[in-house]
Amino acid sequence: MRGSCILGQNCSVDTDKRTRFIGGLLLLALPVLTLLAAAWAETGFIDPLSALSHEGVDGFVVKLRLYRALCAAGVGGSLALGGAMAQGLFRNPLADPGLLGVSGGAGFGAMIAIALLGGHGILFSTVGAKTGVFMFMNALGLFAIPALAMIGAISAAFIVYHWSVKQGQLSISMILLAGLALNSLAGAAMAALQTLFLDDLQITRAIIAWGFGTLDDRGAYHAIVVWIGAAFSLAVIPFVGLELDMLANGESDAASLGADTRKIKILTLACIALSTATAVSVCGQIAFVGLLVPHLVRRIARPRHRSLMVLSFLTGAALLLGIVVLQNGVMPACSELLRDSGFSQLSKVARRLATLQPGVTTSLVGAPFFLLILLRQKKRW
Amino acid sequence: MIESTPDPFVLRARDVSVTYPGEIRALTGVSVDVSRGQFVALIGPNGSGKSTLLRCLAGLMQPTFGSVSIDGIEAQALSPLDRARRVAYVQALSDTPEFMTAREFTLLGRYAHLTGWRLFSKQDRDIATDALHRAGALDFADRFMTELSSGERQRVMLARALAQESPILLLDEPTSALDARHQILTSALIRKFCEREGKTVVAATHDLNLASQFADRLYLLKSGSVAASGNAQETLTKECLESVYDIGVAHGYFAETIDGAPRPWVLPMAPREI
Repeated sequence: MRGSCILGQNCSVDTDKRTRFIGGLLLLALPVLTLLAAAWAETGFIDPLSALSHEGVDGFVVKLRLYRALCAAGVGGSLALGGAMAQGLFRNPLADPGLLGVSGGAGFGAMIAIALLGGHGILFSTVGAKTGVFMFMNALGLFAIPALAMIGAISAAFIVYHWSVKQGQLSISMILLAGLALNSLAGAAMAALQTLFLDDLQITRAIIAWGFGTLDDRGAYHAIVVWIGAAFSLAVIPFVGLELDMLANGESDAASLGADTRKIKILTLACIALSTATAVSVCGQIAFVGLLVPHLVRRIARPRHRSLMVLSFLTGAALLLGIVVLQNGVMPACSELLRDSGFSQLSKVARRLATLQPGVTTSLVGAPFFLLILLRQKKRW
Repeated sequence: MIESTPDPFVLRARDVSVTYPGEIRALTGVSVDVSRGQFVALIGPNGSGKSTLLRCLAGLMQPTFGSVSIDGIEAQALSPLDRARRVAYVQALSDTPEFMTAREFTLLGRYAHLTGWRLFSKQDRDIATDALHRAGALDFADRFMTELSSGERQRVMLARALAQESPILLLDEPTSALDARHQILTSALIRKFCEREGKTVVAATHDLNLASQFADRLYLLKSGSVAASGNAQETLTKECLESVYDIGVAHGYFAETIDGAPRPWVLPMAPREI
């Protein structure tokens, strides 16, 4: 596989330097993007720092935008990190929590929670009910959605893993087939659930809104859930980074070097499930981030798994934040500019595009990229 | 050499049997004793159980029956890290990881010696460089594993085992992809580890003449059990080889050997019936 790095074959020399440089750049970009996402949205530009220091509508608006930005960053980072871990564990650059059926499992779990709670889980956790029965439902919802998503994700991850392991060897085609089967199963089960609750408008609304992969109306709770998941997964990186490098040469080879392969597999699978489950429970299914981002990072920096995972997290966070800024800041501004210059039709298109859910956007961009990856692999055959 | 442990055998397999799923018997009641500083060669036809035996000796596989001890300790009782500090195992040529240079690959051999934050120290890097040098792989240390020829990769895999600094080396066909020069150089190098550094080596190989020239002791396996064992002269007899491999064999003795002991050369021939 000659020239697998975009900078030519002998790019290993300065890799560490480049990895650090890109990491530093991303670390600088993230707070800037977060502030930008908080300041600039469809309702206009607000100075976030002064708005937050004064009581008022502006402060409230900025807070909501800030939660959305924090959710976007956490979700993007978690999904990309889960993808990087899955690709390392399954020793396949095409592995991704979405393809493996893990996000399908998480989605099904979360949907059960939403259906059981009658939509309250999502509804009230955003409004912040503070009385009696609502508070109880609220607290239950806060706990139930991520918990059931987690159970679904873990079940899916372990089913796929055990399905595809035979005598310590991983069968890649089995992984993809098992993922496919689980995804259609989860999809069918979710459709069945939706049909069952079709008459209940509230549940149906909650399910549909969540199913898009939405970042609207996210509260502090959502940001906290996704960042707790992200923090756990990030904390595990030092314990599996080197080991995933070793696993690349086969399980028994890693074991002969002293790696506790069982522990690593379980830890990594749990992390994939955790980061996917928290991301999915907060904002529904956002496809292709887990697949795309680690690929992008590998093309640019050719890092070892330790830095690959950290860089993937940062890049994923920046990517979704970038999408949020683009859709909520740039597009409305463009739309207004177009309207002022007399292109009213184009202006309307831009405004419509701005309301696309990020889950739809990543799929629209991600799917063609996925095909591009396949095409590149095909050329190597 | 003065033995510090009461057990002179650093590596022992007692009546090891391995049955794979589907009632496939890979090994039946194999016993192997390896003493410190010995170079032992496992030979035998394809599917005779050489690799399975090596994996059992490395503690990577639990025998269905029987036991394996490393330094007198039950192999399965050792933690993976402890085992890796005692035994380095080099598997037969396999897929190599993408995006990894030979030097990075070799550094992974230091895994069992890492402490604290488990970052590679300057000392680890020096040991890896030295191992690459000794295995004759320093020239291509900074190239990707996927860009190396299979012979070059095999030398890097040996380098990684050296970087592991374990007293026992288990090698699965370490010279299968090497050219004539490197076959001899690598075999002599492995012999040198045994003589100068007191390392114990068990190598599975198909090259009967290399095994004859360099090994102290040979085990000839057939269908999962030991057909013959002993020094080269005892093991590599014309009759034995002809029956185990079911071929004709031309047989003679090397004029010069590394230690003066008589060591036979063998030349496979077509069996008379064909």
